[in-house]
Amino acid sequence: MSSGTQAKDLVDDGEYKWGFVTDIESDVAPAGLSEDIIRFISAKKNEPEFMLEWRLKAFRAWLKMAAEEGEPDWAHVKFTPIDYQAISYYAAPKKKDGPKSLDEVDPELLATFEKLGIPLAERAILAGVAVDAVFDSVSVATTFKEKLAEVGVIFCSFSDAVQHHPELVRKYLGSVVPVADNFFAALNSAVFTDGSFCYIPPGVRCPMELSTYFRINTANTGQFERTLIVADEGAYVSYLEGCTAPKRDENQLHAAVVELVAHERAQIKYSTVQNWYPGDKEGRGGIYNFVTKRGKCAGAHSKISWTQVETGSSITWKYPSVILQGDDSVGEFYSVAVTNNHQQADTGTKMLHIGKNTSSTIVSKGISAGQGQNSYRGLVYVAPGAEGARNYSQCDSLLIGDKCGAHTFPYIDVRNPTSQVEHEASTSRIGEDQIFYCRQRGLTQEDAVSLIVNGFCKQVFRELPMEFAVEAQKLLSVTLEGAVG
Amino acid sequence: MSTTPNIGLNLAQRLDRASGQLAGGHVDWLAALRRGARARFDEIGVPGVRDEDWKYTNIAPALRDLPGPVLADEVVFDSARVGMMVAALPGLDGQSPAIVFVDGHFVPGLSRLQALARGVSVSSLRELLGRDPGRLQGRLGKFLPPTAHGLIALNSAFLDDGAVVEISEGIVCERPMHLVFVSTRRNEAFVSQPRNVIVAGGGSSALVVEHYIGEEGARALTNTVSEIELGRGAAFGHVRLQREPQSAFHVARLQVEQGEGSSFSSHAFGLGAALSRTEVAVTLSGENAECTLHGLYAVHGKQHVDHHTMVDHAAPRTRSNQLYKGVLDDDSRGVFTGRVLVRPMAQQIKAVQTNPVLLLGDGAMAETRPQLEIYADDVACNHGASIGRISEEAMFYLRSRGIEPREARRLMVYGFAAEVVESLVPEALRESIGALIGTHVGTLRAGERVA
Repeated sequence: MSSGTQAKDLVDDGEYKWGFVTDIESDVAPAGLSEDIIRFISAKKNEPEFMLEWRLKAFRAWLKMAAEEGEPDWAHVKFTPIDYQAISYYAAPKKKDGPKSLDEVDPELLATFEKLGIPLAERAILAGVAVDAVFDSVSVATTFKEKLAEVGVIFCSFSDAVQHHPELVRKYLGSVVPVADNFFAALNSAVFTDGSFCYIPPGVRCPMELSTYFRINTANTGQFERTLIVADEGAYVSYLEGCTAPKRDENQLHAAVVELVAHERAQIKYSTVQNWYPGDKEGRGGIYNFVTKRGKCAGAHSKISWTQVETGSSITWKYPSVILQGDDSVGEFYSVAVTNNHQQADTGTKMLHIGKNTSSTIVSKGISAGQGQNSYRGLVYVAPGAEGARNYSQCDSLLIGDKCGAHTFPYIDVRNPTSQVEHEASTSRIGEDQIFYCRQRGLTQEDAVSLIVNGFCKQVFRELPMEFAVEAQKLLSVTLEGAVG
Repeated sequence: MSTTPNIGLNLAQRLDRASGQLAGGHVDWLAALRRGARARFDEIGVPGVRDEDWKYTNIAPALRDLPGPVLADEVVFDSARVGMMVAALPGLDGQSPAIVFVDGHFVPGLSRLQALARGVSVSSLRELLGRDPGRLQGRLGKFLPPTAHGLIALNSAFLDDGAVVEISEGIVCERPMHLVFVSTRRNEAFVSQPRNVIVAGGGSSALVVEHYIGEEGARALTNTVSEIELGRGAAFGHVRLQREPQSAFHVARLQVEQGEGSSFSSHAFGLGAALSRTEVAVTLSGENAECTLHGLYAVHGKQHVDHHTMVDHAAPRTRSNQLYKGVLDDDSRGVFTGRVLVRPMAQQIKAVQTNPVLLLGDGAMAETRPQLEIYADDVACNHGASIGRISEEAMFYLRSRGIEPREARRLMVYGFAAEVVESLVPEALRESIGALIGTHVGTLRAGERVA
């Protein structure tokens, strides 16, 4: 097979030493990417044949993209090239006998959660949130499974889904983000190790908000999470994704893929607070967050809503999108993206109107401070058959300091005259009179900025579930600490 | 980069036939400029749809018939007819100076250059390069970005004729000056590449109107570049009326460099041609400079119209205001890309951009890309875009007052388009262009389809 030889070509001759047979016992795969590594991951996870085939297909597509075009270069971000052969694509957490309950979870691991201010167990019980915590690449704790099972909701790690619900995985995996969708999605499809899977059966309203906390912990481990959420006819689910990461010195690649499928009259609400390590003040280190998120409103009257608060990562490259295929379906995108110091964000959304009377709303708030660069990039596409499509977009940018940048690159592509599309964008800094007003009333400069910034983001924050909104506001203040002098 | 390297190569080779006859062939600096541009064109070729800036406009159909050059001694046209076409141009009364080019070549007999005000000169580029080439040394192409696309390089590689307008310091021109470009040749596809250079001295005030017209059936590819330099405190108005026949293709670049405290206003009307691409690039290099860019595109049938603006705020306290409106009937396609760049340290900037588009035809398509790229913080920038139909409520209002649907629709469209015309001065020009736009939108067939 030619791609096999291509894979070998990618690896330095000297380093290509692990051969065809993979060492299942090893907990960490050797650095590097090849078909063998993919076979290793698939074997390690005891996957059925179709998964391996699917991964290999993705890998070949990725190789082709890597050879022909390389990484996408259209985004308004700069970074040193990633050495894909230096990354280890599989790392299982250290375990003795495997935790049977939270008490048995590695105390060091729990301590990390503590440090981050998210007491897993407490929070899960008090808030009634089911947590499928992904620590590095393998699930270590899953809660509330029984309660969810009562109503027929499947919420488990992706590996479990592959083992226990292969028919669902086979049906939906890659149906929204195809293997060759883009460079990073193809890479993810080839090497992803775990993630979350969620299926809400017809007519079921998920009794609790589902949540997963992703953490990056082992050095030199790329994170390739895969999330798949399917809401069957008339179902409803609200899913929270929170990301924080401990301090780290070198760049880490994070290339996740999230796929959502909403059938007729189903609703999916997906909320994210992303606070990966952003690098230090000089811009050293930090996470490369290259994520593909896309939802498909497959059925009529379905609705998908993305809400994101992006405060972390040294680079964010992320466009949660909605394919509005069903008639009368609704797509929403609410985003707050903050860049401070040397952070770069290129984020936005795509709303693809295909069905009749589909509507979408985009509210994007970008905040740039320090030397941060923040770009909104979005597409509103109205297909020829999308009679009566409706879109409203609003993209505002706030500048704090004279060395940062705020950019707006919306694409509006309308092919149906019965549609109505509106786009507004503004860029400005915090008004001196606003600061003066607050200072006059006894607020410190920092509090005044915080107040104004929170007001600026209010439209987005109010879309977040309550506990997330609180965390998001805190994060915002922490991220902007010292930005105003 | 280019997706059509062979077309570009063949095109350049075809144009080489004219090389021996190009103006100022003996001038070294000019030869070097042409060589450099040619090398650049050979390197990058014709822009293709994979170039992000050309994503929505495929120029290949304009080159399919491999248009050739029109040599100076090959220009053949019906002088009386072209004379009548020129006389009928909006705003061109018996008093206004006019310089006329047919198929890319200066025609003294149809031009009227005696009416020029003192301190103003309008001449043919070819003539000037023959007479006094030193006057243009270092000026031609001075402000064109080195990374500009292949068709601009092509224009430079074969630059030959066009208008040179020089306005001395402090001169106030009351009458607009008209630059008229007529395409006539029908038997063979051809390229006409006018290159215009306008220098508005410090404190001067003037208005130039560029007309692009042609005989029905003329198989022209007009690829024009106009360079304008505004001195300190100059006030300059530019109007481009692109009304080429449906058989023609039109590519244009307006490159403007603004000095301190200068003010520039542009009105770009894109009404004609099968496919057109009009670029306006303004660099606000001096403090307190300001520009207003207005545009209207109103097309029908299968026309494709693409307007592209770039405003570079390179100095503090500069302001820009853009309003581009589109009316798209039948199966036409309208593209607008507007880029505003605020450079680091360029503080106290105000930039506004609006792009409302009216879709009339069932198959009409609109693509809009307003872009803000901002590297300074003391700014107030915003842009807005809207795409939609004529409001049903407004139609109902008019109909409830006894206005026929067809007339109501015409009124609505005219009212929408007229905003772009309203800011034109002087009044005489505004009225004649307003009348032209009124007639033009009246010909859009959308009105007839209303039940």
